Amino acid sequence: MKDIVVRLITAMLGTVGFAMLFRVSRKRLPWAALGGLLTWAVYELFTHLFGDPLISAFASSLFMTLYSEALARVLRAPAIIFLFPCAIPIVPGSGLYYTVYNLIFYNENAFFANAKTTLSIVLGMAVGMSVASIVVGALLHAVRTLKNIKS
Amino acid sequence: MTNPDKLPLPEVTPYTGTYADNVARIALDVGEGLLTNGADVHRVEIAIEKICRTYGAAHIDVFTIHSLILAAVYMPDGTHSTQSRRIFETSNNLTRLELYNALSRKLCEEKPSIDHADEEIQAIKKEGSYPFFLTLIAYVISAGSFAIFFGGTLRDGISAGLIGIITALLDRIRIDQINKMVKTMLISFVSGALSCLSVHIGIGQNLDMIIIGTIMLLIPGLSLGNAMRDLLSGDTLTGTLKSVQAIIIAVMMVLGYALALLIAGGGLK
Repeated sequence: MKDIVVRLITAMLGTVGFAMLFRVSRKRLPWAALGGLLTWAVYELFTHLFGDPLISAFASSLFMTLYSEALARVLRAPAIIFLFPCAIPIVPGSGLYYTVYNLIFYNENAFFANAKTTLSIVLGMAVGMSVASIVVGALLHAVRTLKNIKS
Repeated sequence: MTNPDKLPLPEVTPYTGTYADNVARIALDVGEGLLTNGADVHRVEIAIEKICRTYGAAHIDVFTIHSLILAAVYMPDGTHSTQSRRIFETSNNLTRLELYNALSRKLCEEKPSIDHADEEIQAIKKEGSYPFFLTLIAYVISAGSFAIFFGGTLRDGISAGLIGIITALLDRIRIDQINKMVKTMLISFVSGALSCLSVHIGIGQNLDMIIIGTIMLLIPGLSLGNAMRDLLSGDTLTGTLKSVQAIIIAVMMVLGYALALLIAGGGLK
């Protein structure tokens, strides 16, 4: 439990750090921080439930894309501003490093294990983000159609 | 292939050329701004096409990959213009991205004059820079928190943060003749060596965790994720190029860290 709290807090701080590296303007930083925290919470939850990196990455990317798109509508900013920082805790940075490391130094088993996890996470993220943007597109289309019917 | 000294377009006003030339130039300026600050190619193509249509183009062909934008604009009166932009360096400056995005929307909705659009583009180029000490703080926070995130102790976090400062300083140095991959390797080597040093002198406790924290600053994990999204959304070329680029950067980093571990850490694990 203590580990989870530590990870949640550091995920949030890391998100803030990267948001600053991405030059997110100061008034948007708290939203990016909240997004990072919640995205990692979703990841932890699904890891606890299913224990599969593909599913966790998919669910958390789905969540963070919906969160960013919703904030983008409310705060009138492009969704990418919140999406990039939120993605940082899930992004398989260490996985990519260890995959290449074991590839170069011929540790076959470790290479396959790391490559599998890294690919699962990347694939889960990509599918999650794509599915979420399809959902958002459909919702926007529905809203527009409803407005047209009313007027 | 990087060219940090790429000369900016000359600031001559008014630009000569036909109306078609100017429309293509404005659209490419906005497209270049979006692409260099982190937008995906699909969005860039849509923005360029929309701007050209607003300014009266009859037919537009846009082709974008992560390092090049090509646009051919045909006006109803028969004039046409084909221009290209080579993109050397992409950074994720999200403040500037937001401004370019707003400008692109404004161009499509209000259709201001070409001169006015020029002024707005020049104004955006001055925005979106952070003071250097904030960048330093950002490096410290990111490296420190990811060292703890992956299971390090507080002392590991502190040493990763301190190494983050060095990384930031090294990253700021611009050596004209050095290639980007070699620079990545050098930075990895230095931060790997410093990680070993910090364990030796007793600030840090777990070498692995300190290294992971500093790796997060350099590793192109996000660009690998974006590359996969490009692949899924049909931009096969950009997706492939970006993935290969990410893997090569990772290879250079591994070589740098491995060299540091060999020399300073008493062998590889």
